[in-house]
Amino acid sequence: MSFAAPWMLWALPAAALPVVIHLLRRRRFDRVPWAAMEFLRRAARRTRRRVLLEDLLLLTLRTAAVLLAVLALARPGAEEVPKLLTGAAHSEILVLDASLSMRHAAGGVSAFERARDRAAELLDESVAAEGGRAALVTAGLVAERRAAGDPGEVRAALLELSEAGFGRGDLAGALEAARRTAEGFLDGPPPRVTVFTDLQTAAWAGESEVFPALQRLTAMGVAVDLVDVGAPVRDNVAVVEWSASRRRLVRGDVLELTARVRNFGDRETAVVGEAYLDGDRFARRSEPLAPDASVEWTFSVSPEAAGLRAVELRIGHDALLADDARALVVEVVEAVPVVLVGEPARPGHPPTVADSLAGFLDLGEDAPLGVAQVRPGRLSARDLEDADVVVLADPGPLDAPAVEALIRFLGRGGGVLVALGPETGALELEPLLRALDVTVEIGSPLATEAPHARLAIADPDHPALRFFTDPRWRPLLTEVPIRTFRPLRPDPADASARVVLRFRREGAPDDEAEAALVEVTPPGGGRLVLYGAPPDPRWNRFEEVPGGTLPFLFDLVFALTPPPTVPAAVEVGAPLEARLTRPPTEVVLRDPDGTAFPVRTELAVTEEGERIRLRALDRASRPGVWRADARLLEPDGSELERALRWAVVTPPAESDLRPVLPAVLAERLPDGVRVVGSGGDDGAESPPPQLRADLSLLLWRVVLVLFGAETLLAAFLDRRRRR
Amino acid sequence: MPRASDPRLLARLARLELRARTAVEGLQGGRHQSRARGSSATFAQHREYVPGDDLRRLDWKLLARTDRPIVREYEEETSLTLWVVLDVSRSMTFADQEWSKLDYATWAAAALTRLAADQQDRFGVFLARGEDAEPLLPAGSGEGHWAETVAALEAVEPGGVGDPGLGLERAAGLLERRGIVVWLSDALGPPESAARAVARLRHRGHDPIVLRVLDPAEVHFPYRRITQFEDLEGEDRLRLDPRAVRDAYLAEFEAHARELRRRLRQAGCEFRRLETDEALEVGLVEFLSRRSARLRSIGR
Repeated sequence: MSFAAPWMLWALPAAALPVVIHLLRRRRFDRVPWAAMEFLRRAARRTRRRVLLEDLLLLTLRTAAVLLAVLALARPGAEEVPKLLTGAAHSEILVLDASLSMRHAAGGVSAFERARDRAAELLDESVAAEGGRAALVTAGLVAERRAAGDPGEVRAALLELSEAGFGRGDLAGALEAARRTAEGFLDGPPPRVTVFTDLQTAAWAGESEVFPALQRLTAMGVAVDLVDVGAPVRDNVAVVEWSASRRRLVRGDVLELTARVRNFGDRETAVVGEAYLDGDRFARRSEPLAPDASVEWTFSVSPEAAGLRAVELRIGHDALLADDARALVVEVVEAVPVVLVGEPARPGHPPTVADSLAGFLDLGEDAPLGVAQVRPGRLSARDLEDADVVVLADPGPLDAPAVEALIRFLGRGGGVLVALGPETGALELEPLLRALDVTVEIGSPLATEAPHARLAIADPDHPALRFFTDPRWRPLLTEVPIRTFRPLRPDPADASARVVLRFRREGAPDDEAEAALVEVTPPGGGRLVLYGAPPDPRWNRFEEVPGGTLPFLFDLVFALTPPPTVPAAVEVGAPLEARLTRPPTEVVLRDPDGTAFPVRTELAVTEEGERIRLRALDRASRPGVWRADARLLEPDGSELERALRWAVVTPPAESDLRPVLPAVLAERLPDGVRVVGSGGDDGAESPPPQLRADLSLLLWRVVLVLFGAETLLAAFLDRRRRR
Repeated sequence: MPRASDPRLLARLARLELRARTAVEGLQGGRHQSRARGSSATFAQHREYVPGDDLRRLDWKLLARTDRPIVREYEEETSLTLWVVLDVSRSMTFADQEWSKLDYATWAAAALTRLAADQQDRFGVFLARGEDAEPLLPAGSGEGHWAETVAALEAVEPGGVGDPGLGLERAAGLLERRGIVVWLSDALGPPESAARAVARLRHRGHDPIVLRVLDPAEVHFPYRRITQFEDLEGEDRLRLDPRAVRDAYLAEFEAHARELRRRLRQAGCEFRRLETDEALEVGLVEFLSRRSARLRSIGR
C-alpha cells in the first residue's frame, strides 16, 4: 500500500481522541452525597460488565472511524482492489512513455506492451462507470494526444499502439498535454493521470523537465500515479559510441574508428563486436565485459570506393535490440580538389611562396589533393566550380572578378587559405576582406634578428595541428627559424576569429605575441585562414623541414574542406539533411528496411546563398542506415545520379535502463504523485497487472458506516438509559 | 428552608387541622375510647394469635375447643400517647431539592405532635441516631410542651450511621407506656430489621405506624451526567454514568420497597411513603383519613 498524501499520516494520533475525550469526560463529574448507597452499589455491580462492553464498543467505533478518516485523507492506494470497492468513475488520462528504453523486453513482452495492456485494464476498471471520460497521450519523440473523450475510442487507440519509439520520450510534453486535457475534464468526474513508465534514470533524475510538469498537474488538484512497468532485471549491453577519425577522406586513406561498448547490467557478459563497411564485415572483436563496465575498441579500414560510405558496429543482440548497432557515414573522395592561386617564380629568380606551396601540395595524380594552379590575374568563378579549397599563395593584388569568385566560393561553404608572403599584405587583401566583412589587421613584413622567431601553438585542438598532438613531432613545426613574417591581429570583437598559431620571439612577452595563423568564419559562409609565415626560403626554413611542414599543410587544407554532404550520424528524431552543390530534381528515400518514400523536392530543398540544403525527412523515426537516390541537375542541364546515406543512431542515455533510485525520486516528486508497482515481470509467465487503486473512497464509505453505527448505537443506549 | 416553628408551617398545620378534622380520630385518645389494646382493661374481643403476643392473653379454653390459638383483647381506659421516633441519622440529610428528608420528617413530627397537643393527648419524641436512640424530651402534653418540642426539634443535629431498624428497635425498648408509635425514617436498612422492630413494638402493645420519608431523587434517580455518589454514612465513592445504572438501581430500590412493605404489613403495621416534594398536609391527611376509615370499619 502507498499513500498519495503521506504527511496526513501525522494525524494518525487523532485516532486516540475518542479515548482521550472519554477519559476527560470521566474526569469531569458532579458530586452527589447519597443515602441509598447500597442499592447503587448493587446496581453498579450488576451493570458493570454490560456498561464496559457498551463503552468499549462505542469507543472502538469512534476510534476506527477517526483512524480510517485519517487514512482516507492520506489517500492510500493498493493493488488489485475490486472496482466495486473503489467506486465512482474517474476521468482517466493515460500517459504512456514511448521512449526507446520502453522497448526493453522481458519474457517476450516489452515494457511498452505491458504498459499498453495495463492501461487498457485500468481503463476498463475505472472509467467504465457512467460519466467517466478518458484520454491517451504518448510520450515519444513528440508528445501526442492520440484520443480523448469516449473511453471506447481511447481504448481502440490504445490497442492500435504496437511498440515504443527508438528515441527519447518527451514525457514533460506529454504531461503538459495531460494537463491541458485534464482542464477540459474538470466539469466531469475527477481526472486522474496515470503515467506508465519504466522510471528510467535518464528521464527521471537530475534536472528533468518532468518534475515541473508534474508540479503543474498536481497544482490543479489532479492525482498522478506513476506505474512502473519496467522489468525488475534490466540488463543491457549497448554500443554507446562509434566515431571516425575523419568525416571526409580520400579514397585509399585509412579511416580509424573508435567504438565504446558498455554493459549496463549487473552481470558479466561476453561481448562480440563486428564492424561493417557498407554491409561487409571487415573486423571482429570479442571481450568479456564486467557489470557497469565499458570497453573501447579501435578499428581501421581503407575504403576503396568514393562516395558516402556507411560504417557500422554491431554487437550480439540482447533484450534491447535497437542499441546493439551503431552506424556512421563518412565521405570518401577521389581527391580533395584544390585550386592554388599564385605567381610562379620567373626563371632565374628564387622560388616564390606559390612554388613552395605547390611543391608541398601538388604531389601528382594519385595524391590526396588534386591541385589545379591558376595565376591570380586569371582567376574566375569557373575555376572554382569544383574546388573544395582555394590556396591563395601570396597572390598579390586581386582583381574584382577574382574577389567576386572567391566570395561566391566561400558562400558555397568552401575554404580559402591565404598565404601572406612578400607580395600580399593588407593593401592587397583589403578588397576581399572588406567584401567578406572580415576585420584582421595584417602587419608589414617583420624581420627578426637571431635568434629568429618561431611558431607557438595557440590552439592545439585545431585539426590542422592533428599531427603535432604527438609531442615528439611538435618541434618540426615550432622550432623552425622564421626570419621574416607578417604579424596578424584579429579584431577582438570578432567571436569567429580563432588564433591557431602565434609568433614566439626571444625577449618578447607572450601576451604581446602576434598571431601567425588566424581562422575566421565570414558572415556569408565558408572559412578563411590567414597565415603570416608560409614556406618561403627567403623568409623561413620550412622548406627544409618537410617532415613537419607537409603534414601541417595537408591537414590545414583538409581542415578547410567544406563540411561533408551529410553529418556522420544523427540521433533518432533529427531531420535527414544533405548539403548539395547541385539542385536535386528527384529524390527517393529508403528506410533501413528498404521501404521507399518519394521526397517532394520542391518542399525539401532550401537555397541558402550559394548552398543547397536538402531535407529528405523531418524526423528520422528509427536507427540504422537510411539511403536516398538523388538526381542532381548539372549547370549544363544534364543530370547526375548521387547516392546519399544517413546514419541514424539511438540516444546513448536511453541504453541505461536502470530505474531512478526511489530515494532520488521521492525527493523530487511533488506531493500528490504516487509511485505504483515495483516493476514488470521478467519471466515467461506474465503476472496480472498490478495497478494502484485509490482506496480513499472506500475508506470514506467505511467511515460513514462506522459513524452511522456509532450514532445509532449511542442513540439506542441513550434511549434505553433514559427510560 | 422553613423551620418547624415557621409561621408558614404553622399555617399549613392549621389548614391540616381543618382539612383533617374528620381524619384525626385515629390519633385521638382522651375524648374517645382508645383503640389501643391493653391487658388490664375490659374484655373487648378475640383475635388470632400472632407471634409476639403475650401468651398470658391466650384463651386456653377456646384453644382447647377449637384447636386454634386465640388471644383475648381488652379495652384500655388510659389516654392515648403518641410516640414519634424520628430518624436523624446522616442518610436523612440527603436533599436533592430545597429541603432534606430530615427537614421533611421534622415537619411531619411537628405536625403530628401538634395534632396530639390539640387533642390533649400525651406525646413524646425519640431521636434514632443510626442504631441508637434517645428521647428528645420526656413525654408531655399541651401547647407549651409542643412549643418546647418544636424548639428542641429545630436544634437537633443529625448524626449516626447504620441500620435504622435497629434504631427503632432500640427506641421501642425505651417507650415507657403503650401508644401509637410513628416511625419517621427513610428505612433504607434491611426490611427484616425494620419488621423485627415493628413486631417488637406490636409485642409491647404499641400501634406502630411507619412513615417512610424519601427524596424523589432516590425514587426516580433522575441523574444524567457522570456523577460521583458519596456515601452519607461512610467513605464509599461511586463514580458512574447514572443513565447506565438507572434501571438496575430502580429495580433494586423497588425490590427493597416491596419487601419492606410486605414485611411491615405482615407485622401488622400501617405504612405510608412520603416523598419530600409532596405537600406535607396532603400526604398526612390522606394517610390519616384512610387510617381513620379503616379503624372505623374494624370498629363496626
